[in-house]
Amino acid sequence: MEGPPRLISLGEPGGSDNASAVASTALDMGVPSIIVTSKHGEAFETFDHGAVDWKKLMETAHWMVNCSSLVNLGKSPAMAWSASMTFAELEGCRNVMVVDMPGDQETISKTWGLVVGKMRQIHVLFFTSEAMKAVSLLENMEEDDFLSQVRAKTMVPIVCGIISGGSAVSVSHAMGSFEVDITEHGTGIVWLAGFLKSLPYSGTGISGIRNASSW
Amino acid sequence: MSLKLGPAGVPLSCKGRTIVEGMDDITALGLEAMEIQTVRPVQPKHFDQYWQAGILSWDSGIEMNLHGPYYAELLGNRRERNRSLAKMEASMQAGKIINARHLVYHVGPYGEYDPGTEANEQVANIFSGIVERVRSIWGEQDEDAYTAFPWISEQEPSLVGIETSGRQELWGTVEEVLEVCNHVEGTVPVLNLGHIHARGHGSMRTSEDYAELFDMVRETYGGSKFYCHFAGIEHRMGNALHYTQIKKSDLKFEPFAEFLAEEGDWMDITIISDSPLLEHDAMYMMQHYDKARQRLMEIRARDERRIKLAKESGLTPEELELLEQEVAEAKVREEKEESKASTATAKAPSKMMSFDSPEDDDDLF
Repeated sequence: MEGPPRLISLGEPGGSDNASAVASTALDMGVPSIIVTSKHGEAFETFDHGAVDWKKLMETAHWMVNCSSLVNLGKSPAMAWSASMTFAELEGCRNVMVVDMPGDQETISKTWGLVVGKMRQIHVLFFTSEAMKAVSLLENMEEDDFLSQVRAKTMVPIVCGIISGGSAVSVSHAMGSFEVDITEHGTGIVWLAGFLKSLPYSGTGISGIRNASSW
Repeated sequence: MSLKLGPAGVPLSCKGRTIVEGMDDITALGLEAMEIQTVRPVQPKHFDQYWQAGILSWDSGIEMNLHGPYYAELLGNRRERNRSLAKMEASMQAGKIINARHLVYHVGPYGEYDPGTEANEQVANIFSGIVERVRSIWGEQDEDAYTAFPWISEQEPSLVGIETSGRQELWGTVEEVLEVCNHVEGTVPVLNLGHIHARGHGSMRTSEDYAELFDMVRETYGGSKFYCHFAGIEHRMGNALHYTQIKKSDLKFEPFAEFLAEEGDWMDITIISDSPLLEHDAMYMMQHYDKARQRLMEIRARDERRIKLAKESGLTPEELELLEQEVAEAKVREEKEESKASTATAKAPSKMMSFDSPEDDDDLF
């Protein structure tokens, strides 16, 4: 790949997780992207996360994309997950967190607790529809108002999630909330990749976010 | 003056993720306090970790504090209030086990109340109940507990901290927090300076702003013990938008450090860094405080020298200062005259042949 990376994600080797999906979709869209994962022949659960040079990787990157389900995959992914966000904060790269359901659905409470601990570092929080249901239940919040409530309570600048059975995305920001139809994009992950591609160039304020969300 | 600094959580650079490992890192960094977030739901393994942290804090002197749920709705309807209190219960239990000196809570939105006496009275009632519950938790143990938790018999129960809020729709201006803390024994104001700055449309800019704030707290609430949160913050229209690292914010730590160094002798203060760069920013604050103290010491040493010199030459310090001023002014005048003279010389046409002629551009050397 030529040119500096603009989007980095931490993902499983097979690329079956949502963070990798965002990166590979973004790459298809022309956004230089890198997926950080274990080396060939190395188990992801125990990979040498200390060998990842986050500082160098993030030199010119704009987004660091992670997904919540990765923290349950072992100590190494969990450490890399945490380190990537801290380095992103230090290097001026914005953190994106895809909150999705962990393999073991019983652990959503733990996973969400870990995401809450990292809230201050997150710039864009994206919920899959299953995760939104589960977390709203966990937090005793109405699903209709869930994203706005999460945004107000955690102060994450942009909180969005898949709604209407996957045909739309709701976006909540300090200056308002709105919904976008995503049927033409297919999935929420594709929409997110396009949103991340457009956001840095879409202008300021709520109109900038609206422009980026309807890319 | 006693100043304790620490992060809000396990340090980011800590290789382990347990509280005890985090405390080891905090000691290695030269920090002395820590505030941890209660995890939910609290499981027995968490209590084991909390107890180990409590023992370590008892032995090492690291000040442990605990933050309750990341949001609350104490002014909401009965259902919302009870839900918030149920979440708080876990932190109250954990507070005893971890030897927490402060339990920090938010109040949440005004709900059906308007800002004012009625809302404050309701908050005061709720917090008297919380203080009572904390005391009963610290009081209810059998004799064996005294061996396991030596701090129970020798320390006061955790103080209940009420945090200032960073948004207009949330209860928790400095005045509101102070009023409630004044009326409920066992509560303390938690001054979140990022929130105060945001809610005041960027009000914390100079060391005088900090002096005013702490004077107000001292006059209204009394005492010299303070518990504060500090982080960079982005804000708009009097509302906090999100936390940032201190360097990226318009809320600077330097004026606070200056205030602490110059006027904070009477204070016993704990500052928790809740920036996205937890311990990095705690260290940044420590460095700035040390610099401010160093600067102050230099100024004081200079003043002392002046007094000594004045005594030796039979002048009063004021007379000496006047003399120094005159000498300095004379020096400035002299320098100005010198620079005028040199400009005039440079402008005067020279009769000497010059090799620096602009046309002379073919000089290979």
